[in-house]
Amino acid sequence: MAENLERLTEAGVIADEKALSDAERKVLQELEPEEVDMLVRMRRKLDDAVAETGGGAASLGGELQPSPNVIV
Amino acid sequence: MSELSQSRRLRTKLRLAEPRLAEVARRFWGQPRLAEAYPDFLFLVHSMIRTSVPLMREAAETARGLAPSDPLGAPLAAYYERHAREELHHDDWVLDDLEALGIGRGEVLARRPSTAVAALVGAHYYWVRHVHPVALLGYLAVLEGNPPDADHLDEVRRRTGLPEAAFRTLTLHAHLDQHHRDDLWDEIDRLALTPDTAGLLAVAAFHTIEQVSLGLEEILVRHPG
Repeated sequence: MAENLERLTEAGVIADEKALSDAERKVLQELEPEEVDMLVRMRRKLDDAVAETGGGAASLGGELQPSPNVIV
Repeated sequence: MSELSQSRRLRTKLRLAEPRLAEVARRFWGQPRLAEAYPDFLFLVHSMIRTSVPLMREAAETARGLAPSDPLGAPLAAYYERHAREELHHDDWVLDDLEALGIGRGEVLARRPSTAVAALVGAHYYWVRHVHPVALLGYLAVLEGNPPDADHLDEVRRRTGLPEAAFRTLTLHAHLDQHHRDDLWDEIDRLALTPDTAGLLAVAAFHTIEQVSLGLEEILVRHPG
């Protein structure tokens, strides 16, 4: 659904829709509503944390993220 | 347009959720009083890791029961059984690391784990028993999908001045989890996932990211910088 992409972009989950490949876009268009809801909620928590701590927001993909070092 | 493999589809979804955990992890590992917080981190890891083998055995048993009619049953049972054997006694390794920090096994085992860990592991027991055992792959995709980095661990050790023996489990997983992660992606690509089971797997992975983030945030609250 194109509305998935709109909603994810509006919430800041997707930083740059143009950076997505067609195949990635298709995956996101097919997300279930529950998946979209969870992603939006997590992004809000991330944004709240950044606002509270003054840190820089992590954006979608591309950059190397440090491992949280949490293991099985 | 070529279709992405199932593991690539999952990783595309995970890239959207991972910034939540990455932000908390950056605050946690960058905090000035990390040496004081590190034992609590190892306790968090132990709280989760002690459940890995029982969870996978539970998932294997449930998957075996599905096998006659569900094409995911037999391959999932085989994967979880094999992987449970690979993860045996890793909880003991974490206890050893905590002992190197002067924290005895009895003290660790008597301490009540975080509600975030209960929410994480409890949800997976629920999904495994009452929905579908494929959910546990979401948990593993997050926890084995980002292996520790040996160079980062060396830097943390130098910065904190904590003994090398307190980092043995993480350092071993820096190597082990690269193989486990690749095995997991291969396993996911071999499974006959439906849109419904692929969705459950992703929801379980997102829940894992959220609960691990909450667990780290609890430690940050306990050890303000």
